Amino acid sequence: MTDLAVVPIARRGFSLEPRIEGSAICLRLTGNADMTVVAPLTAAIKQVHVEAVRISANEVRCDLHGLFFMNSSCFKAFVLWITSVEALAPDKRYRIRLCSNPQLHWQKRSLIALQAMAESIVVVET
Amino acid sequence: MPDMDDAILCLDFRPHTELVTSARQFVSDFYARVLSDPDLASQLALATHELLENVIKYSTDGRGRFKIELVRTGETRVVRIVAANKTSPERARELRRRLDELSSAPDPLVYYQELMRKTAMRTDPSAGLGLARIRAEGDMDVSFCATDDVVSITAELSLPRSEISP
Repeated sequence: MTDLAVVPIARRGFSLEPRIEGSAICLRLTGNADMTVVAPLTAAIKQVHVEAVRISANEVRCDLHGLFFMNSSCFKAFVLWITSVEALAPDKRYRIRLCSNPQLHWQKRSLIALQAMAESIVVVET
Repeated sequence: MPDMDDAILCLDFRPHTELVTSARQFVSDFYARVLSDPDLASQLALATHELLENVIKYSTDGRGRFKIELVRTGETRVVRIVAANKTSPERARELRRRLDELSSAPDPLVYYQELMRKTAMRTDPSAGLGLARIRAEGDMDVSFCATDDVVSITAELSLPRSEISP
């Protein structure tokens, strides 16, 4: 099993748990991604990108079923991530799969906006 | 269910992050009962959160005034959210510039996508996406008013009468 150099986040009100599953990296985000977690979330996503390139992951899967809300600053971390994947050579790129919760209505519009940025990279799964 | 015309909730307080989450959850729960479409309640919750976080970030005295009201305008109902706070002249000018840009954009979704691209180039920690997000994802009209050292941002969502729960 390859170690993953991504620091998990476990705070009151928000957590991010990374793990490797086959040739994919899986992230489970729960709670509220508000202004208190912008810095650790941004840092964790940068680490995920570095690791995805290092292990030649074909996909990073984000489980957002328990993510109640994400503010615009945390949303920006995803925007930056997508642009980082776009900047890779085509054969080094990987998919970002966002697994959404249809009961959390904000996710539909926010995740579609992320997908619209780069439809070849971002997949939204309901 | 009582008639919800002119229902007004007003908070004059010193918001912090946990209160922002509580206010968002309250707005979401309350309007999920008043409106027949939970997606609309979620749009209002998003605007509530973004506007209150702006108060925390930019209020020069830490205080903010938050008002959410459901009012009748002719045959339609409007949910109006107003967040006001004292701020610096520089911030007021920056807000005006952003709102002018946002209101003059012919397509809010296209503008939002362009802004997402631009924000990826910025090195400062501020996302600068909140108001455009309210406009594009929340499908709300956003306007701005400044008097002396107080700025207020208004986000409005027009509802057809059918959207009010019986």
